[in-house]
Amino acid sequence: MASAWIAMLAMLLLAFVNGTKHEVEWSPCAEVHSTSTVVVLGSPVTASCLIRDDCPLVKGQAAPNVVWKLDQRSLTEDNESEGSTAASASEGGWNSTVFIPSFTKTRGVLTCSVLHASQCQIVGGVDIRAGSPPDVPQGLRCLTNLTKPETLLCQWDQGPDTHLPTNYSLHTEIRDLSENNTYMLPPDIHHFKIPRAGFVLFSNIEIYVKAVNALGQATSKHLLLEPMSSAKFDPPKVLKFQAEPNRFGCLKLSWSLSEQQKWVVTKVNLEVQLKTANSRSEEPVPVPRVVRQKPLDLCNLLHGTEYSVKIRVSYKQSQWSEWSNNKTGVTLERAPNGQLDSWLKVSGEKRQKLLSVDLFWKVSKQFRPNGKNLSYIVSVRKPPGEKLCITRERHCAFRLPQGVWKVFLSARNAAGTSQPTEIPVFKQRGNLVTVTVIVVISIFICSEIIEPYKPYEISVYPRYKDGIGFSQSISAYSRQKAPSIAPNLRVWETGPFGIELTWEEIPLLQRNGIVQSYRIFYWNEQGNIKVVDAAVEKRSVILDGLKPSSNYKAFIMVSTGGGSLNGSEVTLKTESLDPLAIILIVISSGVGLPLFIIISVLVCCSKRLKICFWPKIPDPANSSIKKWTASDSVQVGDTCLFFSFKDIPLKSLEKRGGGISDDPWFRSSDTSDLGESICGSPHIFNPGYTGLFEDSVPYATVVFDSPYSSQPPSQSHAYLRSESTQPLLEEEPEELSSPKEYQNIPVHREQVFFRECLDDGLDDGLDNGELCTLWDDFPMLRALAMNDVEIET
Amino acid sequence: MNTLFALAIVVNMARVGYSAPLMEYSGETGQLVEDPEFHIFVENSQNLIKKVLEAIPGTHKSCIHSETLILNSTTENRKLQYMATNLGIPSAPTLKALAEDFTLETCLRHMSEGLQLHQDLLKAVQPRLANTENLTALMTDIRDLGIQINKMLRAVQAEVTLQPTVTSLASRLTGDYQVQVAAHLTLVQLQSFGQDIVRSLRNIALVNGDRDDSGL
Repeated sequence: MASAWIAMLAMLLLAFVNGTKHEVEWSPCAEVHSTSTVVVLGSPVTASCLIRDDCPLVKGQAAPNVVWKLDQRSLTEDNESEGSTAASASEGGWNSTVFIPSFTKTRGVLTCSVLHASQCQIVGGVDIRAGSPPDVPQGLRCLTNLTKPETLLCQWDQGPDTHLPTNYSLHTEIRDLSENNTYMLPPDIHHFKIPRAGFVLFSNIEIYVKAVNALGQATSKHLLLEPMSSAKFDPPKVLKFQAEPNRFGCLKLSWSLSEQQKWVVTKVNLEVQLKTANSRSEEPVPVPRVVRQKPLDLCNLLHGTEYSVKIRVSYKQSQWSEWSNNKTGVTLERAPNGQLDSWLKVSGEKRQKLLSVDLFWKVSKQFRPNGKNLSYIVSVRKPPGEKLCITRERHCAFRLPQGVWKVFLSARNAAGTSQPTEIPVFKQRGNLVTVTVIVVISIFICSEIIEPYKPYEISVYPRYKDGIGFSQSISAYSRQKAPSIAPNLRVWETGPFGIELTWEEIPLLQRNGIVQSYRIFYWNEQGNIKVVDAAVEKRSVILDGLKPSSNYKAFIMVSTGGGSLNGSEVTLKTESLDPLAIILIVISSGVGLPLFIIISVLVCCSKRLKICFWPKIPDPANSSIKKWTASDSVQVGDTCLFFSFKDIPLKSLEKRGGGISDDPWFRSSDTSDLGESICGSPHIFNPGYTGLFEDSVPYATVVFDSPYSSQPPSQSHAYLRSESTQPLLEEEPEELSSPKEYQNIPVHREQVFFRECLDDGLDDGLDNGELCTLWDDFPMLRALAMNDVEIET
Repeated sequence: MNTLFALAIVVNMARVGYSAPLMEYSGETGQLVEDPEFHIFVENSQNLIKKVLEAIPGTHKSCIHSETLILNSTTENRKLQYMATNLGIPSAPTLKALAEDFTLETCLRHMSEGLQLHQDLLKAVQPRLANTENLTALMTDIRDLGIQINKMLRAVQAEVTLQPTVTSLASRLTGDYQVQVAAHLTLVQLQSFGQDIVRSLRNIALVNGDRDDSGL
């Protein structure tokens, strides 16, 4: 029985051994070995292929041919390797080696193949990877998160690709705990959150990173930090922000840390940002470290002003948190404070009982409203005196009784009234001596309300010792730019050779500056551009030099001190030439001119025509009257008269009543037969006249104020003594056969008087029948009969 | 003559009395620490104990699901005193104002020991509880506070011996109810002990010149 058992055991043992032996006896046909399966990129690789003798693929071959391939690409054919293609005999088989001088692939499979029956059979291979050792991890930084769950997040820079799996591990050392921790990270991960148990609040922790791959390892610089000082707090909360009773200029800020950090009871850094409702700038007001949750007084604030506040915190040198919520608070109001600048204009006459007063004012830089709802009071006496005006504006017009020499201006809000400003009232006095003094003053007017590109009118009032003078105003811009719109061109008048364009002024608010010029660009169909400038005040321009019936285009460019703007193009067309106009022009230029020349020549050459245009007027100085002696000259001022045909201005006579042309006296244009003067002879009319000149006969000019023919005999006439020495008409020869018409009757040596034959004693010594002519025979002479008149001197 | 003698005695006594320093607990009992970082440790401890106290209600809520175990119910907790003894939960060390018989070193040692005690108690119940994230964080805060206390001990040139408290609590947690009661009682005691720590730290801060601007 026992032997049976022993035999059974032996058999089992034998079977087991055989099985094992069977497993041991199986072996691959070839084995491929390399110096390293992981190499530095670009480094050489040597591999060997050991083929067993009993490999069926090489049985019977003297020296099997071995083919090395790297990822299906034969190395021997590409001359990228050195080595034998024929295997060399070695102990137990055949050996083939290959040397790759520079393995440049990051990963490749190197295979060993043998040729068998003209076929390449892979007998073995090895996987080779190439890469680089890890670089030292850079940029290690950690940030504590104090919001549950609390962690310490550490991260570092990725670094260059090693082409190999690189594992990072985070190492920490906490001396206070005598504890070191290592946190293994998955490959190619560059951050890790250390759990709460892995760091100690308020104790230092040393942290570093190790990078490990198949080619080496690298360790970062050690980072020593305290978790609380590396924490970014959550935004704090502003709980209240309000004024307290009787605390002027202050606001109490109640705040707290976030719920997650409320346990921090020690001091933290607090930054407060305050701004007023009207302020555009935000200037943080650093506040000293404060105890957590302790209300804070912010003082030195403006009274009656609304402030907006937000805060942020940090612990020691940690990052600032984000800003908290905003809250607003208003400081307590106080009475207004500060100076009001004013100027006053009085109008009205001295005699009036009430004067009209215009008062303007503005706040000075030092003025503080200290409240809302500011109003101004103008009063005759200091408040609470009689109020002349209560307004919220900055000007007031009121009536002031005579004898009031000053008014008081004060500002008021809900908390009180400011100190009144005394404003003297001056009336303009007459007979001022105006002295013009030119003083150049440059003033910068700065105000928050002044906006660029907006027109402002600045009025300057000169202030004298005893009053305010008249203002000068000017429009100005703090900054100019091109206008917002350009004016539209309109055709005012069109002609064949020119077009007049006009445009409207740009609305004031869209000018953005002072318009300095208008410039019109216009061009024809060929693109020849011309430019013409227009006067700013005129706003019109004439485009001349155009061709009739032609198309033009134009646009306007308007310029201010800050830029220019082009308007839209307009299309223009000149009118065509009228055929009638052409004919008239041709006729006037082609016919009129020669005609004018011909007429001129004729006039100059023809005597008759010449006389027609330039009549020959007889010269009284050369007439027979000239011969009359001086003793017989007629005194001007007596009954006789001198007259000169020449000096009777026909025109003046024409002006005086007309109808002269009908008078037969003036009808004849030929006055050459008048001969000697029959009238005005000093011998006849003025015996007392003493001639001034022997060769010339002085004469008097009778000026009629109406046509002579219509002159009534009783009408007086004005006599003008002529001082002309102009020779009279030429003497007629003394050959007298028969007296010519209106010719002087030959006379004897004795004086002959032409007068009526009267028995007045003057005819003594004279033959009345011979010397006293019959008046009726000389109607012209009779017409010139003068009565005794006094000549005005 | 007798009057003059009596008057002389009184005057001399007054003179002697004036020169003798008053033995105030904040005066001459060696409570002042010269280490400049001591006040930093005090501040850090004040922060951490506040953190511990604020974490206790949340931890209690996440770990204790029995409605009868109420954190701030004095009457109910009084009824569990026998259970506390039965479970072997030691009392926390006594903390009081610094005095001649309660020096700074003694105070700090009591703090350290008390914190270690509660940390060990919570460590014993932690494996038997669910939702222990808050509990783990609380235990970490207690650990960190203990480190600050030990720093203060070193600052007073006292030797720090960190030895875990021997407790048999783990072996007595036979059922879930016992676990719940043990956790509850530990947290209640920790809350009370923590408030004592707050007062003691305030006292220490005052003694060492830090004015009460911590807001506690």
